[in-house]
Amino acid sequence: MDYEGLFARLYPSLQRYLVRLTGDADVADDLAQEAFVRLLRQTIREDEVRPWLFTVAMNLVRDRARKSERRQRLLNTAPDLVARVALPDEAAERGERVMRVRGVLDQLQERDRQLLLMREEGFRYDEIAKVVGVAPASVGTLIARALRRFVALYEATEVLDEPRG
Amino acid sequence: MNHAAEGLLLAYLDGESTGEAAAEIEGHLADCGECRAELDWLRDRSALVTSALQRLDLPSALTAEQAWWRAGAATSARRAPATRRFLAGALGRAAAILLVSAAALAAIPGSPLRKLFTRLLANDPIARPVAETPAVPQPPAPEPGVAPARRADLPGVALVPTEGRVRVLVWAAAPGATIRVNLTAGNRVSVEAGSDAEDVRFRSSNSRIEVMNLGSAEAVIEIPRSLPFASLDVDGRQWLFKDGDQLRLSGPVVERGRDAVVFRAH
Repeated sequence: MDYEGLFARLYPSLQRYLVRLTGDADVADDLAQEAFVRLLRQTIREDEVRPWLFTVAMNLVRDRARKSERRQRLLNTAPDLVARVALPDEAAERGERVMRVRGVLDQLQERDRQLLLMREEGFRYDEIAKVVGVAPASVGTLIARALRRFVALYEATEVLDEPRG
Repeated sequence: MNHAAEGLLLAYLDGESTGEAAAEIEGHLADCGECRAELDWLRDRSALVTSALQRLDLPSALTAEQAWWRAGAATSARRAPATRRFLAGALGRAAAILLVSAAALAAIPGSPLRKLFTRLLANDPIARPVAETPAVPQPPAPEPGVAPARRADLPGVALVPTEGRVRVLVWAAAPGATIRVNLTAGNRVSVEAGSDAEDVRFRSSNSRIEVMNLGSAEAVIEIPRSLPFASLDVDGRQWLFKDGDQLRLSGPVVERGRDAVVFRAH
């Protein structure tokens, strides 16, 4: 198997998925690399590599959250630090936008987050079903519900953000 | 009229419905305004979610080549058991005797072999990716205050932050460990461990340096004064946070000068 080719093709998508899940580019890089390290020790069909990598990456995210509450606090504070790098007004605006989306994602169930993020990465429904552990025929319905929940929470925060009076 | 289920409409939108199933939905949509409106709603809200999630994106701190190289290096390190099996052979036994002898010599403080190992560790491309960063001028001599402790031959890591921030994470600092933070006029962040840091290892990306196994040794961290954000965390506790010109210190400070702070673990 052309591991280097797979890496070049799949790393950006996996890293983006992990950034969206964790909010930290460094953590995302670490976990994405760890997933690839584990892949190198596997015998696996090439067409199964991508769902396999995302399954392992999700497990790594869970392990990391479980192992250390302290590390979890670091993950939660990282986006704020990143947002503050730009000019003050720009930084504040960007920070608010980021925190709004992050807040919505945090309120969703883990399965809804996975469904929406995997759909964004262009996975087929049968691949999503395998990673998330649901029946392939139910994926459309489950994503549609997750979409509704995301939109409801997102639009609710928009109302709260509007100036009063 | 029975309306199309939401999941089926979304599957159609995502190109998951093909052949007969797709034709059936298209036939229904041609006659059903409600389902067309539902499909439009799903399409619009999908675009909204895509746009919202893109706000979370942060670029990778590594190029694909760096990430691949590091993943490959980590795998090589973990294949040590296979190497040990190879060494179980006759050739391996001879090599093992040589290695044991070398290790024994390296364990003697001040021995040339120990210095060689220390230098090799310092030149490990994972531990010291200085060569990957752009060449930068050396920072000028520090201003009066706390005297910095630096030696050119000590293991360390340096980088030029590209996102206006850096996080230095120190792990396994034992009581007595001294960490000096010097604010410099350069544009490079560096961490160097003292000669007594025998097991120290480094990992770095473009905005983070991790120092592992510091023990009770000394580390010297240099941070550009012009860097907007920097933080130092020791075993999960924040000791220093730099926000522009402001320094917030919450670690065990034992000495403070205008351009330097010294912490000592207890």
